[in-house]
Amino acid sequence: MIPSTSWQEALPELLRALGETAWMVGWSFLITAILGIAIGVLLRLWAPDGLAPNRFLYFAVGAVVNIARSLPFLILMIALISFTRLIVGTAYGPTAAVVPLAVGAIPFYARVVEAALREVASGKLEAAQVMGASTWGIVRKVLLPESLPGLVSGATLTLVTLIGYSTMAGVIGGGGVGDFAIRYGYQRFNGPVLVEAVIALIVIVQVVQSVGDWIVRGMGHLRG
Amino acid sequence: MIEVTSLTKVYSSAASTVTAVDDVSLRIDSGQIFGILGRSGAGKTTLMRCLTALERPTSGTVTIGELELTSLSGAELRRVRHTMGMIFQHFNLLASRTAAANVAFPLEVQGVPAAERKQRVAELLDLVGLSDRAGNYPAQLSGGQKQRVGIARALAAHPQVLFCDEATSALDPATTEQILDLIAEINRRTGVTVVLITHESEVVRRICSGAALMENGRIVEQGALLELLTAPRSRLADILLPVGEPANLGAESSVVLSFAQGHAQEPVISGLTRRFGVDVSILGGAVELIAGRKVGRLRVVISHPTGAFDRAGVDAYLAEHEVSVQA
Repeated sequence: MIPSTSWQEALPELLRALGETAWMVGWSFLITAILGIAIGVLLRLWAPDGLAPNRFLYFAVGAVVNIARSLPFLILMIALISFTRLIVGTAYGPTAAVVPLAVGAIPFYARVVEAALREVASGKLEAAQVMGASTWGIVRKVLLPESLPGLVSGATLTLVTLIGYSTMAGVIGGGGVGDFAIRYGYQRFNGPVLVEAVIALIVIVQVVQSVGDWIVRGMGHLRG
Repeated sequence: MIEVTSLTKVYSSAASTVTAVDDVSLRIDSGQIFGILGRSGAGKTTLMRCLTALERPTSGTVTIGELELTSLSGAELRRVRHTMGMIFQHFNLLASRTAAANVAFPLEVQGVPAAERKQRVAELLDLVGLSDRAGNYPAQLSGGQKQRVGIARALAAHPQVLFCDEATSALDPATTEQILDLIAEINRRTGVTVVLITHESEVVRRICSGAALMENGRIVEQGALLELLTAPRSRLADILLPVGEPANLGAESSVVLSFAQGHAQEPVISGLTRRFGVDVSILGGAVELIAGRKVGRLRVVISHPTGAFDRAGVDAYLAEHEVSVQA
């Protein structure tokens, strides 16, 4: 019988796994933030009560967003294997995991953005319109700055969700802390090392959430 | 000058059709403070949304200066809007910007260079008495201060027309007076035409020179305020200077005397009693400073101890003193 790895011995490997998680979560978060805001803004503009109402686009894009959101992440990830291979060249490893992570998170964040933009009082938009602002000017100078606290707290939520999704990506060869936990905790029943991974995840999520909350609190004057 | 011709706005849904503005024609001269008075639901807001082209009328036209708004497309409309300023009941300031940055907003939209913007913002904050609040966010300002920022913002781009949408309805009475006086002072100093909608008769009484009364989507009365107040059976006169209902006062033979031509301070009534030996009992009335003039309306019963008196002479005397008499 091989003696089981102690948590101290597993530490360097855990750190490498956390690095992989940071890589895939970092890139997918960046892509999600950019595309999620873009799609969220378009949905808000195209909505029946938006600044550029477009029934067809609103419902078409809305339907795609809903379909993507209704798939469990694990299924989405498997369904996207060929697509990932097309873009990254491989379906394995942390970089490949970025594709399904972003595809899974973009529709979620887009809806959060749309809801946050909806909170901006229509009177503020009308005030900007009467001052002769263009639609793009209103998006840039009114909609986005006024909804910043909602955008940031939504981004925090998305980031925590991405960390959770990333562990599932580990299951099909994405690497990272999920892969680490499966190998030690599930395949080798190494309790202490599993606990080590769990603690690391708890700490990371706490830090992410606290930083997000701290940024939103710093924007206190926006809630008035 | 603002001219509205046969403006109608109908909202249709599957369930119902609502005519919010019904065949309204309106003429507002440049430099005036014009008040549109009406209860909520009378269609004032929809009318103002048509004046600012936030809403496209179902039919009819809105002409501001030389331009007919309903015929304009996006870019042209944005240019016309650079000649408009607007203030709102709920201020609609941007919470993400300081007072100074809020005032700078319309200047940014119009591409005014930063240095010029800064100078103009300082001027405007000084005009509304908020120079010391330039760096404050709206959340740190009182309602009255927010509306002052709103006024400064509306005036930033030198508009020809200032639209006020229930601008004082969210403010307490003392603050309301300050804001109204500020609007009147700005009108005097810059000559900007002010169009305001309100449900508060006090607003019209205090600063308007012209007014319209709106009910069920229609303009019931409109014109110069002083003329309206002496017009026979004027509804606006009854709202602004109420004299009571004859039936309630138990005197159907009463008449309403309107003093609008600057004679409110002259002893017209004592002159009347001395000259004709009549008794004048005052049943109700109001005297107010309106459009800079002291204006009064009194409901009176004129009688004589013997029963008969020289009615033609009394009427002539009152007419001579520019007092109008209505049954």
